[in-house]
Amino acid sequence: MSHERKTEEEWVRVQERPLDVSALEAFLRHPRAGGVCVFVGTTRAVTGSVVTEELRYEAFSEMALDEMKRLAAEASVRWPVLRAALHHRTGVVPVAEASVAVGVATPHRADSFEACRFLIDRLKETVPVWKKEIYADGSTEWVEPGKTDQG
Amino acid sequence: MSASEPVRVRLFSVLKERTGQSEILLDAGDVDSVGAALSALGRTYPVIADYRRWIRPAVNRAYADEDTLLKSGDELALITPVSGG
Repeated sequence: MSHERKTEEEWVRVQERPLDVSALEAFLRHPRAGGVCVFVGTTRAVTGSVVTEELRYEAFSEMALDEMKRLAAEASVRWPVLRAALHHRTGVVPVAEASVAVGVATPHRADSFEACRFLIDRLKETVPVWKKEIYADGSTEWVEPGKTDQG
Repeated sequence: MSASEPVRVRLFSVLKERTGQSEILLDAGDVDSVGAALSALGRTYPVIADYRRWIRPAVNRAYADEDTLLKSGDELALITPVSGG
């Protein structure tokens, strides 16, 4: 299953199948761009001493697309963004595969690094996607940043 | 939109798993705000009461807060701390 919205400047997508990072990068090419910066987030097997077998992602897809578009618009206000793309994978993502890819094209490279960093940082804070760790010992856990069990 | 249409509550992740529900319909006449809806839901589903301080509500797919008013036909999503990326 996949959801997407695409215009000439922006491409946001939530999909179960593996991400196509080359297609994302190709979309970002622009005659006025001097730099394309792409960040690919991959699933990590080891966090501290805990071994993860696989990760499962769930999204509120319709709102995730809205939020990703909002972030792209926010980046365009702060940097001269020519094109932006944010793609997230859902369902089971085996270790070492891409779970997220974001990228931007700007006239000069410094802006592309900053805008790309902004997009991935903000995506992790606001886009409604949740990650469940399936550990090697069979236990599972939803990752809930900022939540503590202290009443 | 008819006045009798319920408020449609959407649950994901840990709340979906622990309530066994992905969608709950509330009578729009009973819950006039996000806060009222969360209180009503918390009485039926203790896990929603437990999570209340970490829930970021979204109304019609935009982040809102407990004071946001609800009307017939609105969609209320209970967004627990997100962990995409």
